[in-house]
Amino acid sequence: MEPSQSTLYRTFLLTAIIVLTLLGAALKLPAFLALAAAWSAMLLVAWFRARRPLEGITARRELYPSAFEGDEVPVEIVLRGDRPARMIEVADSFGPSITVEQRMLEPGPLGPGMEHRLRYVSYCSRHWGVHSVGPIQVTSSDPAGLFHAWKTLPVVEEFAVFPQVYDVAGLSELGARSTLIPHESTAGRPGQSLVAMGVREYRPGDDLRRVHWPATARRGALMVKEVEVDLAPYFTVMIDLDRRHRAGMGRKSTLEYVLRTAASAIWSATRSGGFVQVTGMGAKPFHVPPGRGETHLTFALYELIRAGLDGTTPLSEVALQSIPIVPPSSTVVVVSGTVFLDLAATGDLIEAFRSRGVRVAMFLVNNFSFPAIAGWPPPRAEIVEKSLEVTFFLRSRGVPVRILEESDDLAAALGGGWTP
Amino acid sequence: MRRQPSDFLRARLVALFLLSLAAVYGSILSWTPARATSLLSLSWPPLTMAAAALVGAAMFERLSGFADRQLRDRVRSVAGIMYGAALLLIGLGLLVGHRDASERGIVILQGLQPAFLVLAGFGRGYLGALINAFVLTAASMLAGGLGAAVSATFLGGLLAFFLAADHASRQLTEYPVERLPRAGPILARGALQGLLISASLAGWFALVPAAPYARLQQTGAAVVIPPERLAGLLGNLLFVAVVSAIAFYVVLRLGSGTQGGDAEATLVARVPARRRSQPVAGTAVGDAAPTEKPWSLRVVKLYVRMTEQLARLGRRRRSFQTPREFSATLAPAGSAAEVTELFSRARYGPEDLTESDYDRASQASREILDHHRGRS
Repeated sequence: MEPSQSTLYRTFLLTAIIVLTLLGAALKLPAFLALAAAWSAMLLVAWFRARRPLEGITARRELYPSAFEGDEVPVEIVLRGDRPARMIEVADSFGPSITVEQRMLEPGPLGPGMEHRLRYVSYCSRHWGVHSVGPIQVTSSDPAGLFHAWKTLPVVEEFAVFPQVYDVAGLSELGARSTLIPHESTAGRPGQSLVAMGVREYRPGDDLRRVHWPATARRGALMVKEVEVDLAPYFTVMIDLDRRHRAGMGRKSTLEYVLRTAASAIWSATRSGGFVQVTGMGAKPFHVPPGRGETHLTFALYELIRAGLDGTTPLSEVALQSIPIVPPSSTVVVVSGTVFLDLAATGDLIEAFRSRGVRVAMFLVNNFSFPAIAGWPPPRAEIVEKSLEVTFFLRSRGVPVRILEESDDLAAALGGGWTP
Repeated sequence: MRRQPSDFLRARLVALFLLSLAAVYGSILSWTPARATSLLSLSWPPLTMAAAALVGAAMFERLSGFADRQLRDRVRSVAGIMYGAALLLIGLGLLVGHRDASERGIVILQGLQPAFLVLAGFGRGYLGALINAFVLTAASMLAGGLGAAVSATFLGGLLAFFLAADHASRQLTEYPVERLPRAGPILARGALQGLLISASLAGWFALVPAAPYARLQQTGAAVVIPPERLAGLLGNLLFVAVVSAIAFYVVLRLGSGTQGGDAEATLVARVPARRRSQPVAGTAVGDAAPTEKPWSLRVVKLYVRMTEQLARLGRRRRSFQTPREFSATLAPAGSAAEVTELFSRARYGPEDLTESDYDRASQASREILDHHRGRS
């Protein structure tokens, strides 16, 4: 890389000063010394002036603290100075992006007490997780650009990058029940109409709009329509955090597939307007209490990106322990890290849920399709046979199931619904 | 949309023109004052310098991408040796008190000044022109007298003004700012600094007149201008310099030499390669996910960001370079070829790229940036 022009010009001036001084002294010509002195004074003043604008300069960052992978993130930096400043270079470190450093110029003038805003748009090109944003480095220079001074402002924040989520086809239909409770429904879905139970006599307080006029005419007394009790869609996402199901690395790993699938299920359930709770058992119990809306989604994803496959409790046991928190007539989405389920325990579990009117849907991530990181995988034929057996077992009990392989494109696999 | 800091670019060019003129006139005044009396001798420096500065500015971008780095370094080395030979000629002439040899050397240096201005893009910006102006001034100061004082006074001040204009124009060209600052106050600060230096040097030379090098004086080679001619000579030179500077500025203002018109002229209009129909899923509940070619768009944006980062690291993609030509100048070669190929497919191909393509492009761009940051 060639040196920047400022460095070159400063080097030129310093060399010229030395040459002029030597010539002036050797040839006894004061004119050389005068020019050397003038340029030395210029350099000295430049050195002082480069530092002055940085005294008292402060910055703060305005940034929404989370985004999904691949999202563009607008960032605003507010500069405030205590003394006049121009041409301030600002460099911000944006950890979630591969192009970490973002450089901008505040042309000024930035007067004492004034605030100026600088904007940049970055891009979450790194993997999901918690990244840091900052610190901010401000650089000033003298008017001639001969000297630079910089100051690092400790404006450091955490920024959460959530996994890219995909619409899980068919999920909203599973969890949808007609409801009169107003909520933020973000997708059109069936079941919004009222389900009538019958007619009964009018009671004081009944809405006149519910009067059933044909029945009233027949009976000679006011009759009103009666509708079913309505329920809001309610989802429980159960995640398998058993460390024995770890396989693969990076973007091609069971952790990645389990968490991405869970995130997509949470996303789709929230979009359908339902309540969502998440449960699992890693090294520590993992639980996101029920809630709905954007804030709850963000909270659930925050918790999710901190989870790891570090538990020792089998998923069937986790599900069994969670039965009391699953409300009747709701939907359970199970995300397993393996296809080798304990069918007896799974069958009991499905029956237990069914007895309470709970529908179950399952995503099974085939951990043996990923490169093994410990031990030997079973023979391929055995895995295929087990996959078929589990699929048949679950489908025969009315449980929609989708097996996710390492070679699957998650967007297509989840968007394709429950059919393989 | 990026705007060109035209006012600063014009100011830089005017400063360079005046600086060159001061150096050449100073050397004429010091070494061959007889030539300063004829109209031809007075008019060639401003005309040549102005033309050279304009041509150099117009050809800057084209010359800066003319050859690869090794060839440019070789040419610079050869030019440096030749330049050193000219300096040696002057030095030896001065050492033995042989005025003619020094004069010939000075004439060569005067001729080199417009050449440096024209070839600014090939070298390291205007550094060559500054060095030559400095050497001419130093030679004038050896001859002493009025020429030395004029040359040193103007060079000292104009250099400060040039640096201020150059710094502002480079910063504003490098960083896209939404609103260009007013040129007046920034240039005024540079001008004030230059005036202070010039005033202090003028004061010094008024108190201590510039004496010629003792050897030249001993051999009688030092030129002494009769006092009755001095005022007229100086007046003529100043008049020509001021008129030519105004004419030069007018020519620049009319649109030639600074790659464009006024300060509002657009340098680069950034048009998105393909606008998303909807934002990416996830910024809010209810956002829709699908886009027409999301991964292609991301790769294009990644490439644009990479080129911007490289420009800041001194690897600017020239306007006439295709992505493939540009990639040939980058290292590591494999990563550069890969990211360029993905960019071409994303930008011009009919199919959308995949996530793994984007990952490959990200990895390649990271390797390139790390290499050019010197981390590899």
